[in-house]
Amino acid sequence: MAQQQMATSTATGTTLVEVKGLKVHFPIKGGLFNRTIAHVKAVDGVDLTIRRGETLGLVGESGCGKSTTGRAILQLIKPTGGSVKLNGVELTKLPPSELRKKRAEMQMIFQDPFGSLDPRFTVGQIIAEPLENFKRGNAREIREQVAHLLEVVGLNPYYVNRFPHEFSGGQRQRIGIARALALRPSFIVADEPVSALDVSIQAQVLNLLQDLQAEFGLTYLFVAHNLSVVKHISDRVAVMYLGRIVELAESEKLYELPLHPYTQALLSAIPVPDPEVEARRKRIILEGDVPSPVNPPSGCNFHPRCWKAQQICREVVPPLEEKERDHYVACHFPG
Amino acid sequence: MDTHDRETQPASPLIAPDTNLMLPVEPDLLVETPGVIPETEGPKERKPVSPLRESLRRLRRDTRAMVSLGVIIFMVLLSLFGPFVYQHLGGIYDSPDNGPIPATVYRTFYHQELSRQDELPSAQYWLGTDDLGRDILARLMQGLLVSISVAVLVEVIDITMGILVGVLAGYFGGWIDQVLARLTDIIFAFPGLLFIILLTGIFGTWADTTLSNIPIVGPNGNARLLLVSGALALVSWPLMARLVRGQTLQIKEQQFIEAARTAGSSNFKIIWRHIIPNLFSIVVVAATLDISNTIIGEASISLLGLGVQQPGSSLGLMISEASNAVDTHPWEVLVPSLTLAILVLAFSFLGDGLRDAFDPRTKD
Repeated sequence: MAQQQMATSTATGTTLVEVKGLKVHFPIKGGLFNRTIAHVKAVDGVDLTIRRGETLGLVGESGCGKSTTGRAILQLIKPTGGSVKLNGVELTKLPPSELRKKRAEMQMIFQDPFGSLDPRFTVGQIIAEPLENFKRGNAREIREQVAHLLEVVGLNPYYVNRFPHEFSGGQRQRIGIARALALRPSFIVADEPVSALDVSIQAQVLNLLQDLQAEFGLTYLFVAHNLSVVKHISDRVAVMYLGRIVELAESEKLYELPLHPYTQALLSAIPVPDPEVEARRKRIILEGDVPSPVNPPSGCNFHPRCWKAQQICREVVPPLEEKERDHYVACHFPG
Repeated sequence: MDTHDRETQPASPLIAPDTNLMLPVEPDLLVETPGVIPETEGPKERKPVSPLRESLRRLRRDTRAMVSLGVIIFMVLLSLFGPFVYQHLGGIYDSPDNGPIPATVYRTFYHQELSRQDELPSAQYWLGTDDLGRDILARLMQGLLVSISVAVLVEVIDITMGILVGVLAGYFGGWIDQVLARLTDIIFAFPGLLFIILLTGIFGTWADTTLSNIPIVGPNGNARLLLVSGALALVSWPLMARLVRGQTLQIKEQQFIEAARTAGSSNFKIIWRHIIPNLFSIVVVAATLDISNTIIGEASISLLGLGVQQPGSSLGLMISEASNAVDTHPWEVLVPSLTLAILVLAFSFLGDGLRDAFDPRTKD
């Protein structure tokens, strides 16, 4: 593990976010005395390092724990175990008041452009909220910053007094992005920021995110289930399955030569926009469903659906190891 | 790929739908297309529409609710200023019992003109007199004042306690949630009216002796009103709190709450600026509908003789006094009963109208 950390850190020199053994278990209450009878293991031991200035894509099926991972990193959900370090500061053990101060450095862009904006706030109030919380200037200065932020995300500052319901999905998402940028954070978790948008708007918002990354030196954790979107925006991609990371590599490498059977199956599902190639494309159809995260399979939790599974897969959890340079796989039989 | 949204704006009311086709591009909010926003265009002049303004606009179009609101406003004005106007409209009356007396005497709710009992409406007594020769209109206005004051007092306690406890229970959960759940269970299992009767029965005489020294609210047999209001609020706030709790649980899970937390807002600020404003509509609707119950509750208690005492007046008390002679003088029962029914219906209709106006599912 230590070796692995060193390898990634030395690649660019600086690590912004370091996640080790992150676990989020939600209790299921029931029975006569409302006792905890089981746990949903949404995130079950995730290791990640996010380098300064990169975009790390996090993909997986719905319910695999990718959004929960993003929220647990930002401490919006209290992790059950593990450590999260931002700029070397351990976040999981910070008292609430200290954590609130830290929020200026880490922000989030939300999936739902409708639910993530308070319907009773104007656009100006929405974007000003973080600025007011951190006392970034007096009322006039905050107004100026809000107007500037609206311009930065490509909205006319004239509409600062409008309410969210007067905007389209794409425009609302821009408002959400302006709010996330307001405090000049270094790290932003983008939780499926385009999945609720029309395809034509998706590209615009993705381009905006990329432009802003260059302009403000942002680091993204980009959570998504759309593989082409992730490929478009990410420097590196992590693939998640049932609460664990199964593969992590540079985006190009991962898409060209996936090593984990699950990644291979996932990528084989991407349609190719060429009818001839598409006809020859071989899809790997996985058998069965994703097992319940309440009672995940022993050993490698992908083994019940894996065509390579052996005895060892049922018994031993494969660690996330560097199989090639900067290519990490959690599999006993990669390739 | 262009970097501006191609989604259309709602067409401005100034432009007819068919002329829209002649516009090269839909008016756009984005700065990348500055030339596209016409200078004289509608959206620029339009005021931002807040959800509240939108709801009130819907309410204004609801005839039944607006008529009810008019009735309620009329009744409130009547109870507050009616007595003064009424007393200044009358001349001197040469009473066989009391000699010449001005209207400020014979048109009060407590003056007994024993030679003029059980009369039908006349120029002197616009709504007639009761079995003690008291002016029914004067007593009715006083009774309305009592009903409305009790309703306001009860709803103030109801809303304050309901929001305070409901939001805390919904937002934080834990022991306060448990206590609230048990409390509402008890209130549900125990008939509210019986509980109020018990309370007023036990503390009634204490209220008469102690509270009657308080100016304004105390005299005229109104001392028990505070007790009745307290008792009514006591049985109604846990229901409000439960409603608020449920709504809080729902709002709490919305992403904008998570966004506020990400923006560094404290729990207090999230509750104060995000949760309570979003509870506003549901609380207003519930409180308006609850006023009907409160008014009926107060009338029932006065009817049973546990509320306002003589010579004070209340709609319930008027009905109770007149009901002895309902077969000979039905008018005296009819007036307060009809007023009570209209008031209660008006609040119910207004509550329904508010619910329709605020409920996003009925949005046009």
